[in-house]
Amino acid sequence: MNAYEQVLKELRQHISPINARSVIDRALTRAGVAPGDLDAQLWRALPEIERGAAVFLGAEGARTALRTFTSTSQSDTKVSLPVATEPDLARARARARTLCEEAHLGTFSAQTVVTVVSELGRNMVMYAGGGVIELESQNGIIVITARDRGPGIPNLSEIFAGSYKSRTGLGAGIRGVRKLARKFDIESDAQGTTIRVEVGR
Amino acid sequence: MSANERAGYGRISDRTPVLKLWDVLLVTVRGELMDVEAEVLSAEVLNAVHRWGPRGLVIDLSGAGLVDSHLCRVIADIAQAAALMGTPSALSGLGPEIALALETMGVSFRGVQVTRTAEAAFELFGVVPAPIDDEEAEEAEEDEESSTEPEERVEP
Repeated sequence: MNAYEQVLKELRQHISPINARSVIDRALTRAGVAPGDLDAQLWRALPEIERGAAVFLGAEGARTALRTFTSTSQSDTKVSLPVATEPDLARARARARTLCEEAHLGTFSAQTVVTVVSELGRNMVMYAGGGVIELESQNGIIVITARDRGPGIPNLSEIFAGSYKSRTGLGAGIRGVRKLARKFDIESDAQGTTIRVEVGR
Repeated sequence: MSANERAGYGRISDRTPVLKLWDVLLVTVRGELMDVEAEVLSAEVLNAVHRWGPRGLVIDLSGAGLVDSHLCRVIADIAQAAALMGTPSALSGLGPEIALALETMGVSFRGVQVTRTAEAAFELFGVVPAPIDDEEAEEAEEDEESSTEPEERVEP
């Protein structure tokens, strides 16, 4: 049984066959997914199917009805982006945006992610001679890890206390990222810096 | 060929327009600003401020998909330098996502007024459109057909 038939079967346990089919078909149109592609693109069509089903079952009912599909279709991706120059940074920002779309993050969360990537990436380019930014999507949470082998960030405690007036912007960027993140971890010494940030709903 | 041209960006000055509209300068920041572009932008804006001595400088960000701490710094520097030359600045066009991100990061634009639209910023600097009264326009048309004397327009 393919994905289309599986979803149809599940929905028909809750709503009539005609409505179930109509919900799915309209959702596919809205999501821009062909019925034959549903196996590969279920994660993309699912929010729209849920929306359509909610008309009949309410938001909670729709979520419950499609429960089995939601937990398995979250697209988990890990991307590794070397960032050494400004064009690299532009690419990393664009890639981050795409990742957020694929993970169905809201526009506000997506903006947070791209801003974090921009701040950390810029610091890497300006002060560490480049590094790598890893983006990972886990169940709607985006994990951004920025690693470099630069000289490290001095005065970290002062930066976070807000007492380090950085003319160069390094401190401002890190402070901003820390405030944007739901989780923030940093390790920095003369051998390099690793910053791990979580952003999500 | 500059590094930017090699990368396909074309001449920077072609992409950072500074427009003089009546007595107000309008700068639209579009897309993402690389460091070299930020320098050129600053230079162009401040040269224009010096040349025209405008009543105000409007920096519109509705075309910027991302505003990070670096761009904030660039803008703050431009605004402060313009102020030293006697021109106040206003920021416009920040969308909800960017506004929230800036607020969360704790960024504030001190000494710079912020409006929702570029038009509102222009109004701040005293540039207001004079609406054409429909009645007057109709009368002007009728009179034009029937007489040779030009109708005198009275501005409210």
